Amino acid sequence: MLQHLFVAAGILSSMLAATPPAIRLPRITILKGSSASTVDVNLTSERRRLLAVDRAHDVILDLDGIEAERSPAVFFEVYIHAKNAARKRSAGNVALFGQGIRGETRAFRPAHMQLVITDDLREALRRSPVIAITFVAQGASGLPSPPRSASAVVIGRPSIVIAPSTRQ
Amino acid sequence: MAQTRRRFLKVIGGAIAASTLFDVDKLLAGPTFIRKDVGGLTAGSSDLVSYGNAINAMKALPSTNPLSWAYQAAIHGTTLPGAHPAWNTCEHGTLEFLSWHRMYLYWFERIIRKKSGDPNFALPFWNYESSSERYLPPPFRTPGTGLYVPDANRGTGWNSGTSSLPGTAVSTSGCLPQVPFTSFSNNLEGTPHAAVHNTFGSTGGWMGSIDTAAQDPIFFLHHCNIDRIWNAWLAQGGGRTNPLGDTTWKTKKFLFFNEDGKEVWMTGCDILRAQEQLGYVYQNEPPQVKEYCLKLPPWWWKYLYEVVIQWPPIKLPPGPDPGPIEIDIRQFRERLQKIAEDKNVGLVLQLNDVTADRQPNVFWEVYAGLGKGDRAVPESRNYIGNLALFGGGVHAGEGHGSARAADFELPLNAAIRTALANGETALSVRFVARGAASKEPRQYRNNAAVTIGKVAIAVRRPEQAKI
Repeated sequence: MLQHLFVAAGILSSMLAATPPAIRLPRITILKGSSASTVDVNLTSERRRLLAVDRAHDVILDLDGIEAERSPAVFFEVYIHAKNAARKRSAGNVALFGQGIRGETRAFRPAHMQLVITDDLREALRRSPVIAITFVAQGASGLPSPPRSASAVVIGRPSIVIAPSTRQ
Repeated sequence: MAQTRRRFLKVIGGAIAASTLFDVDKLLAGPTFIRKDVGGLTAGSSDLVSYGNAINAMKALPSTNPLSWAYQAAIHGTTLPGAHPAWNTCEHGTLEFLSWHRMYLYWFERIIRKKSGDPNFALPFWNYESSSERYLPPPFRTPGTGLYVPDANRGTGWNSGTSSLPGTAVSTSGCLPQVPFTSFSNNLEGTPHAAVHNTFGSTGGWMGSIDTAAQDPIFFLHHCNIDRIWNAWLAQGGGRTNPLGDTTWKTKKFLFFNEDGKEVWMTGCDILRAQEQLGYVYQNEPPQVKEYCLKLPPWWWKYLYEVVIQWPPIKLPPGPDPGPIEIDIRQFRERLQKIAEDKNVGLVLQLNDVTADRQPNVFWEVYAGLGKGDRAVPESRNYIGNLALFGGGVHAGEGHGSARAADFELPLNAAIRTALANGETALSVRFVARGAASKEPRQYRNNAAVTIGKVAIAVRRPEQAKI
């Protein structure tokens, strides 16, 4: 019993010590008809600790409360880059199917997605404390015109969090 | 004796899982179907011919018939009016996303097998991560076959071979490195799963909406690929496992229909081992990982132990911490390596017959494989647990008569794996005394003469694992 108490206390204290607070970002709206949307985020006050993240941890772009009235009929590549710098590689996608869409037949539930942005963010922050998060609408290759979002998409609770890495 | 007992346990297990459906022996005795890469098939390949024929036969049935094409698609999702059993029951954004779709594919495949009259039929998978398979597979573009869907419903450019899946829609680089099931499943559900659906959606195809997606025959090949990626993720090992600790995931029942149109119910425990329980493998996939649900009440849980290394007794004398104990593992390297890689067993450090002549007034954090410069802190991956005597093991001053020796068992898999990977010849085991406020950087002194009578590294197997 005592052994369990000690272990539980140890785990709890190490969790508390190891979990820095999330960096809340303003609500993001991707407009209907847009092919790309960029949000600038000033991370001056967080830059140092974000650059100091060790290999045992990851920086996560946590996109919670994602919703759209109807399917945007595209997915969105997400890019993290320094403000005014060119975007390089996608950190992952926001893709809604079966969740986050109010117009679908079943009970609505907002979508929640997490993207690992450790390397992209580090690279961006080395160039500027103001980073840009760009959402690029993407659809089938080979179409004559660039894909555009068929519905506005709102990301209600975006944040950046540092968490123990779950990758291997 | 063993036979009788096994039969008895099977009966018990069967009774507990009574409402879930399977004649396990029949399934185990059945053939293994190979789900093939559609990229290697042609329009004349038997699996695709049978698939098309079965679809045509199913389309001829009324939508109220569970074996009809419309009904089967509606199990995933539909905007059709009426409330029929199992309609609109697909799981998305939940822990059951992968398991539900595996069940759906399994019963659907059995229906196609029967409707096509092809006893060898297996659903192919669409391996779109391969750059040569980003276009809709050509056999699906031929009008007049059951595999064809007109442009208005499939979307622009797929049948003509101009539209294709972009590389970012099909990448598994986000999901496969994830170790926790939830992280993996959520990532996979996003990309490639939802991204592929959305890509069809960008051209106006049925595949773009949850309510219409399963009306396109390519849907089932897409989901076979998602199912295959699940197997591939698990096969990477490294701590990857299905959520067997989640009771809902294991026991929640989902309704489907068998090839005779009869209702069947399935749970997560029924679909853990694709080959063994469901009779299929994917072409060129690594050996499937076999995971098992506990089908017996928890109080029947039992472990079997096999000692690999026996070590002399350890003394923790009164005073400051003793130095590390170096357990020689040289002659056991090969065996330990094999055991450490086996996901169905655990390596443990057994500390048995632990006694103290009085209350030590400390407990010990136990560290395995701690290097010379490494700090002994519980956050370290070398920390394997505690040795704490309270009542049990303390001979004097406890006031509970003659005390029984205490036994401890601490997990060693990770420490052994690291030691072997680093080419260590010995596994260091260190006992670090702590008080209640163990975070303080002070030395705690043990107050008692403590003896660990039996020290061993052992293999631990759950006895019921193969039931």
